[in-house]
Amino acid sequence: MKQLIKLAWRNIWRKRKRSVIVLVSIAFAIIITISLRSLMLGNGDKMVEAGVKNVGYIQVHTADYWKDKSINDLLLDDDKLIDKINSIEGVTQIIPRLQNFSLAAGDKTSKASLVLGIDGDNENEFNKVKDRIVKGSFFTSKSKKVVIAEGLAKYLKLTVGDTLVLIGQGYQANVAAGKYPISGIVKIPNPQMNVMLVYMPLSLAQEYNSAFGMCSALMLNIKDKSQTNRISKELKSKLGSNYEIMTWDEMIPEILNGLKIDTTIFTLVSSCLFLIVGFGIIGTIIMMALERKKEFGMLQAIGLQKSQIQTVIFLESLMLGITGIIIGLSIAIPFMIFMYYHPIPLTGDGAKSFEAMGAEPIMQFGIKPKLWALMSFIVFCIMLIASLLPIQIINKQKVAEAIKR
Amino acid sequence: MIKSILKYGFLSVAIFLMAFAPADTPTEIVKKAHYNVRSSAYSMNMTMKLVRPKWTRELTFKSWSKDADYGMMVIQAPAKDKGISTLRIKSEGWTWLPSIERVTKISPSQMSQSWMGSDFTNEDLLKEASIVNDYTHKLLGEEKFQNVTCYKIQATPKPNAAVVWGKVILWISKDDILQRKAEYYDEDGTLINTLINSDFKTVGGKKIATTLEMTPNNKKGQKTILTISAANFSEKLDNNFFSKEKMKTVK
Repeated sequence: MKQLIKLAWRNIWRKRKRSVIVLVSIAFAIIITISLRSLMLGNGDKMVEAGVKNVGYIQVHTADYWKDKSINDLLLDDDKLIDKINSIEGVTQIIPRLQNFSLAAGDKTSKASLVLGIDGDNENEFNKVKDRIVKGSFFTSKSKKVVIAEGLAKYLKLTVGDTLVLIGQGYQANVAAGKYPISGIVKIPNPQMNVMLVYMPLSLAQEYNSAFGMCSALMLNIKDKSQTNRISKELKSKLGSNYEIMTWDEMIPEILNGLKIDTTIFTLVSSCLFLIVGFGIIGTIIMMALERKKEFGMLQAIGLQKSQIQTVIFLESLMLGITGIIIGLSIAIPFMIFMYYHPIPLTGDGAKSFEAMGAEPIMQFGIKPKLWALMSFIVFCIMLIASLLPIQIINKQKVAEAIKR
Repeated sequence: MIKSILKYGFLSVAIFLMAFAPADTPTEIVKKAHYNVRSSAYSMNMTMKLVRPKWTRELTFKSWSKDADYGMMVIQAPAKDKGISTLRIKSEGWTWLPSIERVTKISPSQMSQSWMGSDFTNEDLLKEASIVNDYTHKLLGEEKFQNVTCYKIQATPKPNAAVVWGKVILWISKDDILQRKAEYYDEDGTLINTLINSDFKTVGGKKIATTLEMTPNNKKGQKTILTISAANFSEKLDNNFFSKEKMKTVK
């Protein structure tokens, strides 16, 4: 066996150009597919992260809340419920929210708005909402002030210190109306939200909506993102059918759908690439086998078994494959790591579309060891399939004929 | 002889005329039914109960009305909503919200929206004489409703009338000309709301329905019940009473 390995090793070095072609195509396939997919996955992760910042990993509502988001379907924010949720392993933070639609009015103009009652400090710990402030300051939890989005402030011609008038329908058809001083203005990346969002301390929102001690959603932060489904399942069995448990992907399916489209595109592109590279490798190897027919015959004539020659050929493919993969990875991995820390900044319209989704306008690469392994495995399989062809050629060939040529 | 011919002649002409004397036109029936429960100036104390599948809510309010052109309503209970008033002058409406100290105009598009979250629209409560003036009426026949023989009248909006319904079908009792039931349809002919008047009592000198129940057709377990607890049909109200200033202080 040792001898066969030696033989295979020498064979590789005998035809350097051919070996280099195979190695380069393998490395090329690996680098291209990994870079492309890492970019997709990196951006996908970024989108998910931005989305999750808005809705949390999991939300607990009263049954059937999400469909209509009605102010009448609220849940009682009591200690018993909180304790129950807290008892599930992996839940790190519970953030209550009370949301309702209202008419926001300035002096002369008015506009439909989304009034979001939040526990400022708690919310800030999760999504750094206070960092979005562009003017004034954020309210404290006991204050009777509001923070409004930049676009809304501009539309209503209001600024810090002015009074915002809100009119709507509160809990169980109560009249919701009030006037509140504006303590600060925030910039919301999502342009749609930027013209309609009003933040209010939770207790004030409860008073405004006549929904004392209630909230429309409990937003959960968890320790490990991959545990989302397990925690959601546990919550469902623990809280029963009076509650609605939703995970981020159910609440913002558009992100998940986007990721699915990405996956489809990548599968198509990478399949084409692997097909081209694969045929290249197969072609090279067949050429090699045909060109060495006489050599194989000689080897047989001097006493080597067919299976031994086949082993040599197989070893050659194996060595080339593994070397190619190692070269590919050793270029791709450092490149990915470098790009991960030095993402490509975007400008112009591309940047705007990223900002609209609340994500930083950068092309973010992801570090995905699973992807590296998968791509290497696929390339390795291609090499194995390619090596079957010369093995078949050796099987069929007759010694006398081969030598005669 | 001539005398008797004249005499019988007149009599027969009179009988002839009586036989063919036009009965009340549908419009007149609707008009009568409308004014049978109203006077030139009146006030009413009412309680409105919102019934929803999971909760109920009650509002107590008082309303004033004059000459079909002026109307005022003010909420008296619950305490949180006390003082919220609605004013109507002809077809325009305003709401006063004490908590924001603002009078807001009820826009035409808001006319079809619910009043205080109930199944009554602003139009139902504000545009009082609308059913008489904004619609043309057609008698569809007679029908028994709750063992009372009623005229069944279809009201179709006049071409330029600013109303929200596509048609309204009214059941008006034949003997006392009182509205018993109304069905409200949208432009596509789909039934939206049914209003049933019941508990006829003499209140403030007039026989009126003291319970009005509005049931939306497509929302299960949901309705609004309006109960009239007192009425005064001989109010003396000045036109100045129906002003934006007054609505801030009315109780």
